[in-house]
Amino acid sequence: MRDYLLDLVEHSYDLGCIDLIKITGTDTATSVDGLAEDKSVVLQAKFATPVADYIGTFGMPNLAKLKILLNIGEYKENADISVKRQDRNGEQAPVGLHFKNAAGDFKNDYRFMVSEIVNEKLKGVKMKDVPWDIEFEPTTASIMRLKMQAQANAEETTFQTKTEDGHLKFLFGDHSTHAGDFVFQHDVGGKLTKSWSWPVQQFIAIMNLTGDKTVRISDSGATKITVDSGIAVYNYILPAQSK
Amino acid sequence: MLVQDNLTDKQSDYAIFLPAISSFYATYIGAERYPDKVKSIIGDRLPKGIPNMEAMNWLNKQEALFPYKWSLYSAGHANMDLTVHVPKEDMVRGRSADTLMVADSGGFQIAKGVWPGAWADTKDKAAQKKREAVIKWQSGIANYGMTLDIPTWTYLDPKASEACGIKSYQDAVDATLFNNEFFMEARGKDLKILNVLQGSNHTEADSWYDTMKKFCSDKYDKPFDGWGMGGQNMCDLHLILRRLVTIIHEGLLEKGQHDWMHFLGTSKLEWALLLTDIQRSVRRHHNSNFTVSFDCASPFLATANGQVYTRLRADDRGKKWSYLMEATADNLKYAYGTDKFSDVVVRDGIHERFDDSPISAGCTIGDICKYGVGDKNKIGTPKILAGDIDRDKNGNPILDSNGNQIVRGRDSTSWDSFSYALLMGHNVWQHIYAVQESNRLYDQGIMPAMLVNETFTKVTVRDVIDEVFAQKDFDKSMRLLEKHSKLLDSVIGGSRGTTGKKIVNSKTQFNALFD
Repeated sequence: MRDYLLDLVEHSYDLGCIDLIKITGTDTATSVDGLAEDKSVVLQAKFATPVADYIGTFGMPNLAKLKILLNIGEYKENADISVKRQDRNGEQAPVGLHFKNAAGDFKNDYRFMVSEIVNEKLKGVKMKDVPWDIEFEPTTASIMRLKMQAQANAEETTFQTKTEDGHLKFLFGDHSTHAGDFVFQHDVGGKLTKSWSWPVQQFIAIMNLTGDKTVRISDSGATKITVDSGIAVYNYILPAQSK
Repeated sequence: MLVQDNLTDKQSDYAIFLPAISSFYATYIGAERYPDKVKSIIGDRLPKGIPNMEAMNWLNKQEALFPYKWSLYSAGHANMDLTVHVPKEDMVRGRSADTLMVADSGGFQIAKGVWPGAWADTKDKAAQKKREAVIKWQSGIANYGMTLDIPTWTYLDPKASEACGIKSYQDAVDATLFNNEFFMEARGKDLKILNVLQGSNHTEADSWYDTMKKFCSDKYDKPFDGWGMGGQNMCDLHLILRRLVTIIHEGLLEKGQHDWMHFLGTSKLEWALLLTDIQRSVRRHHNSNFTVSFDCASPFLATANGQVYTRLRADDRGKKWSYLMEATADNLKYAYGTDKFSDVVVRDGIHERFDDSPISAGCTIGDICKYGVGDKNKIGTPKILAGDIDRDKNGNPILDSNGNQIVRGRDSTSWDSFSYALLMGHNVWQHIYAVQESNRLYDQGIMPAMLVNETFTKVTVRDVIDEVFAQKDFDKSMRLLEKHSKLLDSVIGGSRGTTGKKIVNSKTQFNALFD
């Protein structure tokens, strides 16, 4: 249980822009939805195998608190972390997590958000079909180069993408500012005709996550980054930044 | 002999600030004109340094201490029934012909759910009644009215959305279209109407403009007479300039036809300057009649919050130009004081500096701090100090729910309602003065940091604006705007809309990508 929760918190809260996620669990699938308050990131994830404890629909609010609980020393070894369920409208619904250390003398309760409220706060969104013009798996070296440029251009909150000679370039700043650019991925095959902007902080935060990553960019103004942690497959959709 | 500070004469060719008249303030001016019909609400409260109530009415060229001929009045605050004589409306209704009044339509009231009705339903009687009232009222009291626009963000507030029946962006557009068609037919022959543009981002603003621009075109025998800039159009300089270039190239900013553009609700001094730049450049390169106005209610709202304007802050390359507002003297010990108000507030350290207006110059400290300890207000409640037992108008102790006497935590206020009116008048002068003085300083080359970038070379907003309007070629203007977009985005707008770095955000694409 703790590993699942740690994976979930890392791949949502640790981005720095998501503090509430919605879990929708059935016998056959467990999915996760999240949305940054500024709509810069849409999270849509699915666990590799259904999680029996998560059957139902509920929200996990205040993920900062959940992260603290998961990292308390008392709960790192042989702790009992279980989903509490209660009868709601004739059904057993998940209502929270109960934390108990190995000795049983240190406890915490983390409450879930009920389905009616989380459904209101995180209304289901369905992405329109867009063609993904570029698809690649970023290298560790590219991610390092991105971080260097971001550091050198710390005043820039966004970067732009364009394809040039078959390579994908990231550009920071413009003619009126300090500027920098570099090839993020060689030989991407596809072509981008529009110079969309993307949020630096969120993009790097996703690149920092544990798991295998695939980046897809659409000329329609969307980037989808898939991160497979082994426990779940997380899809992050970044709408392009525009006026 | 009355010494006037004639702010009309000092206006030069600056973009025009319109004080958004508070009905509270207007009541004092209007009602005192009819002593035979209305019981005086000021009694003997007029300070000795102020000859009469008309001295506080800037729209009265002959009698005002600071004549200023422009103002805005909102349907949301007015008594719109012109069939009835309402003395307290007389500051606006009874103004002289040499003044200019812009009337706001009350779209904001719809958006806030204050004017309930099914506004998306063209047959709804409540909405139609209000529609008719607004256009009749505007035709009766104003030189320029505004379309009854419904801001695109209306549907995002569930309570307001329910009250006004606007459930989507398209509802707001459709209802505004209907309102516009109605206004086109129903307006008085002398009323000029500003076509209000809305939109929460560039995409929405473009769409709104494309939908509504026909009302300023020759599709109509008597098209609307100018533009009102709301939503993102009033706080995003890049969008404003892009819109203006488009309007000009589409023939919708023509001399004698579309001469006026009003920016709704902006109090930032930097904007007073760049709007002057826009006015001058458009006059120079396209329409010599073009006039820009902007309004805000800050002088009145500040007073309601106990704040008074003390002075202008406008340092060369200063990060923020503003009128300083501070909490001012309100103390029972000052009652009946005969020293000049401005002397006392500086002498007693309430303000480091206080620049007099023609109104504050005529006030003693006792004129503002009317009540002393033991005095009773108009309903008879005694004025007491912190630590005293709170008493009702009969002198009996006020008890809490447990029957215990209530001990007052702070001194009673020494102000009466006329104190607020006096300070409002002072604030209005200060605001107009600040706008004009800032423009004078700007013309001397003293400028706020926001309007110049000297990181690498010197690029000023003034020069960019003029270069954009100097182009005859639409694409060249647009390329210039793109080239300077970072500078333009760095000009921070008011509290509404998105401004600064937040102008570039995910919301437009999110809406485009997700159902």
